[in-house]
Amino acid sequence: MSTNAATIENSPPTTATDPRLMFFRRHAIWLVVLAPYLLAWWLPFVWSWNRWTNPAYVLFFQPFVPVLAVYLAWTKRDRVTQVWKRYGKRSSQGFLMRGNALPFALGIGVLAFAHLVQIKGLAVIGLLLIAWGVVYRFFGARILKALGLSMAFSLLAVPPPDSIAEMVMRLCGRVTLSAAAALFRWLHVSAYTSPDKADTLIFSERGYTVDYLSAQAGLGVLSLNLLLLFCRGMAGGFSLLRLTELLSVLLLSVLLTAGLNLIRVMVAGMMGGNATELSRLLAHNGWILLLMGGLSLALSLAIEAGVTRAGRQVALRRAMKKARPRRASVSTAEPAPEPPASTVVAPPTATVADRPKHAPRRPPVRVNPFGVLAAGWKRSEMAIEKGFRMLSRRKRRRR
Amino acid sequence: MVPDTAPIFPGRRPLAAMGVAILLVALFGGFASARFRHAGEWVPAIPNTIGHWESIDSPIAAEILEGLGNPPTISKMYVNPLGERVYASVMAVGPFENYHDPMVCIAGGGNFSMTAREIFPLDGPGSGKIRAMIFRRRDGAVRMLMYYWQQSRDGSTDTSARMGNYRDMLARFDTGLGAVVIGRQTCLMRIHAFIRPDDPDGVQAQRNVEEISRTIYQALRRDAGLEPLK
Repeated sequence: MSTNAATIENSPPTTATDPRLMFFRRHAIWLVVLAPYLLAWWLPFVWSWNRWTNPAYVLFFQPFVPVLAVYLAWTKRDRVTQVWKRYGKRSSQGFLMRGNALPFALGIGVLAFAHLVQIKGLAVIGLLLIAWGVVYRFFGARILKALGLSMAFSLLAVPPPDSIAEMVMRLCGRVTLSAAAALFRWLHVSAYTSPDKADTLIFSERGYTVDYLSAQAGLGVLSLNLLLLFCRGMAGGFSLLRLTELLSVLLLSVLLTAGLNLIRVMVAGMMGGNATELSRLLAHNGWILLLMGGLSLALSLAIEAGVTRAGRQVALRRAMKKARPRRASVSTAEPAPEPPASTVVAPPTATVADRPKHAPRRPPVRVNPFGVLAAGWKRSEMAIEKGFRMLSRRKRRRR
Repeated sequence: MVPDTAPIFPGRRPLAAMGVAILLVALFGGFASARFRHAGEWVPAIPNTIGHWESIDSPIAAEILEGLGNPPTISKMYVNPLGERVYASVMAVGPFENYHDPMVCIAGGGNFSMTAREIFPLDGPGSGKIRAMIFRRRDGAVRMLMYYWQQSRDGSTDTSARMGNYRDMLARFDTGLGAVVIGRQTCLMRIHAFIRPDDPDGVQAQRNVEEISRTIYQALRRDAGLEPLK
């Protein structure tokens, strides 16, 4: 008997008590909706497959949107729980606040219509309406509002009309080629764009051309970069400071990717006469650009991290400065009245000798290559924000 | 005040109802796709000889067909003893990627522009309507006359474009309803000829295209099991 009891005590937690398994068991009921919902994504996914797998296509980022939207919703889980605990689904709430199945039904209708007309944009709108409709039906309008950021973000999964996407791509390709031609001329290499639509870069001496299809190839990677940075920015919450940070990092990513793409087009053009195969590889293989995109994303994120960290350090220093007691106030102020004896807490009696020998050390400060720049940038941002605050205070006073 | 909160896990019945609704609409999507494929399975034969016109196979380039989703296609070039040529193609169309409109595909390339467009019944009153277009190359050296229509197996014709996603939504809905609910099968007809320099008004080209078009139109009706128009 005793050996059996010991075995039970030492054995790992059984499946019945495993908290992770319990979590899945408790939420398994959602599979009733989730499984058909994923199945319903199948056709819009098939319709968009060719475009979503092409890194040169401007909507290359779209398959990542639902995943990032779920991540954004996950970052807001504390807020959602707070709202649910506070309001719940009160029976006293009105019809609209309590939630109903109308958006869900509308989503089903839109999706069915999209299957008839085979428009992928409509199908995605229908699928998003279904997802929001399920949340609204079971948790009401307040929870839906708490998830508003994730919902707004998920709208990026809706493909715009093809004509607009193609127009953007063509424009970006032509701008890249025009910039490359101007740079070549500056380097005294005879290259010019075709006169009518500027969609081809012609090297008159080398007898090689770069068409706009290969020049626009960095666009998909750029859009994915922007999406990831945007998602990161949204997950961090909104403030003037945060918004400036986000915009500056987005701009930096655009400049980096566009610059790298320009260099790629120029290198492909320069090598046209000498190393044709390598040039073709550079010009037409869009997957190579993922490396460039990854590099530019990593750089952007590093700079963002540097800016955020520098901002935190500056804010911490300012807070410590504020918290430090002023000498004048100490000397002139009346001594504070002593608290009653019952509330007096005994002061800590520990001395230097009592301190643990291996006190936790402060983590070593890593040298940030962008630290100086980032701190300066952060200080200027904070000055701008301070200026805005002062302006708003003055306005209030005038009123 | 303690909030009157419902359990965070919803009732099984409404959740199951929603799951069934989503499953049904997903299955409807699969069904609609199958019906669209069925709509593109009618490839009517067109005559090899029309009066004194003899036909030669003139296949469409593989890259173009790939861009259209590889629909089944018959393409011929009719030549008469005078050396005049008329090109005719029949393309079975199912999903909307097959529906490329000449107004977009020919004029959109940038080399040609559409200079005239008219819709009229091909073979007298009561017959199906077609769209006639004239395209002109930018340098003015080449002109092309094209008759275009969508021929359904039930005998009806349509000339509206279905290429734009949102712009042509009503026409797309009509096609979707026909293909998925009614089971209508359709093919695209393009019959064109280049207008020769010695035919400034394009009268001869129009005569040739019209002759070929009318004969093919009657052949399509026969293939569909419909009685010829009198």
